[in-house]
Amino acid sequence: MAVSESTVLAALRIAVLVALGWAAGGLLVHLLFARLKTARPLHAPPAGSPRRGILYAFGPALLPWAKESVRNHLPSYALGILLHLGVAAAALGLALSLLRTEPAPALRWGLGFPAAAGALASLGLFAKRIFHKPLHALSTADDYLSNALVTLFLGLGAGRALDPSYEPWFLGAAALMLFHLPVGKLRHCLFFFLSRAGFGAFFGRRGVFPPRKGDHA
Amino acid sequence: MPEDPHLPDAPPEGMPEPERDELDLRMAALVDDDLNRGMAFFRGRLGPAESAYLQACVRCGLCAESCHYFRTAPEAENIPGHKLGIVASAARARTLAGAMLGSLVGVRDFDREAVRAWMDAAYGRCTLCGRCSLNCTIGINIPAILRNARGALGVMGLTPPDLAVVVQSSLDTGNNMAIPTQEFLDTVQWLEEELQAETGDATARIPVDKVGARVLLTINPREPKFYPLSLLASARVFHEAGEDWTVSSRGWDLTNYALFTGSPKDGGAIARNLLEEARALDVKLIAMGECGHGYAAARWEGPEWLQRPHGIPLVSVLELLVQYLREDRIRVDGRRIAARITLHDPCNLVRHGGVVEPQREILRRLGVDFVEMTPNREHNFCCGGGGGQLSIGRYRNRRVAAGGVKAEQIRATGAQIVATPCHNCQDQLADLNREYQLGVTVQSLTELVAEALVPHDPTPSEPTP
Repeated sequence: MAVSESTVLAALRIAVLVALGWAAGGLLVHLLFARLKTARPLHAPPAGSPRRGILYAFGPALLPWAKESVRNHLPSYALGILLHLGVAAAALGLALSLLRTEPAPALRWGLGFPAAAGALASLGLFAKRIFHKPLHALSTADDYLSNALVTLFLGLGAGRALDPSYEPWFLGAAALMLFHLPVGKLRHCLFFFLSRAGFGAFFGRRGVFPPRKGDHA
Repeated sequence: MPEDPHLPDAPPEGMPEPERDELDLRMAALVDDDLNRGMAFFRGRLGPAESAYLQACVRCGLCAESCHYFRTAPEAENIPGHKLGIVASAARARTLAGAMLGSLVGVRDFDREAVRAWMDAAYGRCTLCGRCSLNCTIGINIPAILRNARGALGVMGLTPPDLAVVVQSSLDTGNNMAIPTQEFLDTVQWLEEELQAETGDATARIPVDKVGARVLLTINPREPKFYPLSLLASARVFHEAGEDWTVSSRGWDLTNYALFTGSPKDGGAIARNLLEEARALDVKLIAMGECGHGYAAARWEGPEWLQRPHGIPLVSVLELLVQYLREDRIRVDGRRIAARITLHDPCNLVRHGGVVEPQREILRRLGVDFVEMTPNREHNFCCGGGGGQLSIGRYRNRRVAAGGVKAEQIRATGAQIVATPCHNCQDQLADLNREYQLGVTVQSLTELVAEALVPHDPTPSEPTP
C-alpha cells in the first residue's frame, strides 16, 4: 500500500515535534543540573558592576575593536554570523512548516537567502575544520557531525523556502538536528548565554568590564 | 623515540628519555581512591558558571592565538580550548552527553592517563593568565577551570613539589622564602639606616609593628631577601609622603602561592595570617606591594576562601602612589630617568585584578618617555612567569620559550626600562632579558618614583626634641 505524501509529512512533523520536545527537555535538564550547583556568595567588595559587565560581554566585547580573536579571524567571524543568521531564518521556516503555513513570496526569499548563505558559511567552516591544522587537531567527531547536521538543516531550509517539494527532507533534517542538539555541542545555544553571563559578571565585578580609560583610582 | 606531549620537556631527537621525576612516579602510583578524591574535589568546586563553562566550548579554535604558549609553539596541546577539553572531557563523563555519546563528544575516563594530561594542561602549558577568556567566542573562564583542576591534582598529592614547598613555607613560617623574623628585622634596620642617610633625616623610620598606623605595607619576600633596595624605595616614598605606615614582623609577606595550586584551604590560611596581623596592628588600610598574584589573592580570592569580607580596606600600593602624586604629597622629576620606559601589565593585577590605570598615571606624572606595549591593559600578553611557573623547574624551558611573545613586545617598543608592578613578573622578565638579549633594565613603579623623587625639604630636618 503506497503511503501518501500527506501521511509522510504528518509523520515527519510529529518527528520534529518529538525532537523539539527532546531538545527542549534535554536543555532544561542541562540548565537544572548547572543551576543545581550552589553559587557561592561573593564576599570581596566589588570594584564594578556585574550587570554592566554582562551587558558589555554580550555587546561591545564581541566586536572586532574589542576582541583580538575576531580581528584576527574576520572571515571566520563573518561566516559565523552568517551561519547563525541562517539558523534563525531556517528556524522560522521550520515554525511555518509545523504550522502548515506557506510563506508569502517575499518572505520565501527573506528566509531562503539567509538560510542558503548560512549553509554555505557552515560548509566553509566545515572545510576550515578539516584543512586548518590546529582546528583539525582540536576537533572531535561531534564537531563534524554537528556541523554536518546544521549544514543539512540550513541547505534544506533554503530549499524548502524556495520550493515546497523540499519539505519532507527539511523536516527530516530538522528532526535529526534537534535530536542531536542536547547531547552534542549544539547545546551551546543554551550554554553560550550562561557562560557569557558568568564571564561578564566576573569581569564586571572586578571593574575590568567595561574597560575604563583614564582615572581608575 | 615517540614524543610524549605530556612529558615536561620532550627531549630533542636522539636524546635519552628523561628520568621520571617524583611527580611522574606519583602519577603512576595513583589508585582509584586518589582519582575519586580528585574528581570529587573538582566537581565539588563547580558553581553554576563553572558547570556552564565545562559544557560550552564549541572548539572554534579562536582562542589559540591569544595564548603565549601557542604563539611560540603552535601545537594542538597549547590551544586553550584543547587544555579546557582535557579537563572537561573527564569531568563530563557523568553528564547526559557523556553517558549517551561518550567518546563521540570527547568524553573520556578519569584515569592515570587523564591525570597526566591534566597535569600537562594545567601546569605544563598554562600560567592561568586568562587572555584566552577574553578572546573566547563563548566567554569561558578557562583559568577558573584549570585552577580547579590544579586543586584536584593537589588533592591527589600532585602539586609540583617545588611549588608545594613554597606554599608550605608560607604556612609554616609566614613567608614563602622561610626568612626568619630576626633576619627580616635586621634587614629592615639596615634599610632604615640607609633611609636616614639618603634623606638626611635622622628621624626617618621604617616602622615595624606600629599599632594604629594608617597603612600596613605588605611586600614580596624577594625584596628583603634579594632586592632590599626595592623596600628602601618604598620607605623613601612613604617617608616623603609623610605617611603613617608600618610593616609587620609577622605578616609582611603579600604572596599567596595557593592561588596557583588551587587550594582554597591553603589560600585561606595564608590570607588569614595577613588579616590577623592587620587586625592585631589595628591598621586602617592594607597596601599590597607590587605583586600581581598577591593582590588578586588578597583582594579578590581571600574573602571567598575565608567566606567573609576582610573588614579592612585593601588597595594596591600603586593606588597610594597615585594619591600622593595627585595630592602633591610627593613631587617627582622624571628627567632624572633618561630612558624610554615601557610598561608590562601583570595579568593578576590588571586583567584579573582590575588595577589598570594607576600605573599609567604614575608614569605620565613622572613625565618620562613612556611607550605602551601593544596590546596592553587587560589585553596584555602574560610574561610567561605567572601561575607559579617560576617555582616549577619541570617546565622551565617551556616558560622561557613562551615568554618569547613578551620579549618581542618589549623589543618593539625600543624601551630601555621595563616597568612592572609585580615582582614575579620582574623575575621572569629578567630571565627573558638574558635569554632574548633584550638589553633592558626591569624596575618596579615604586623604584622609578623613588628615583625621581624631589624632596619637599632638601635640608636635613631638625631632630625632634
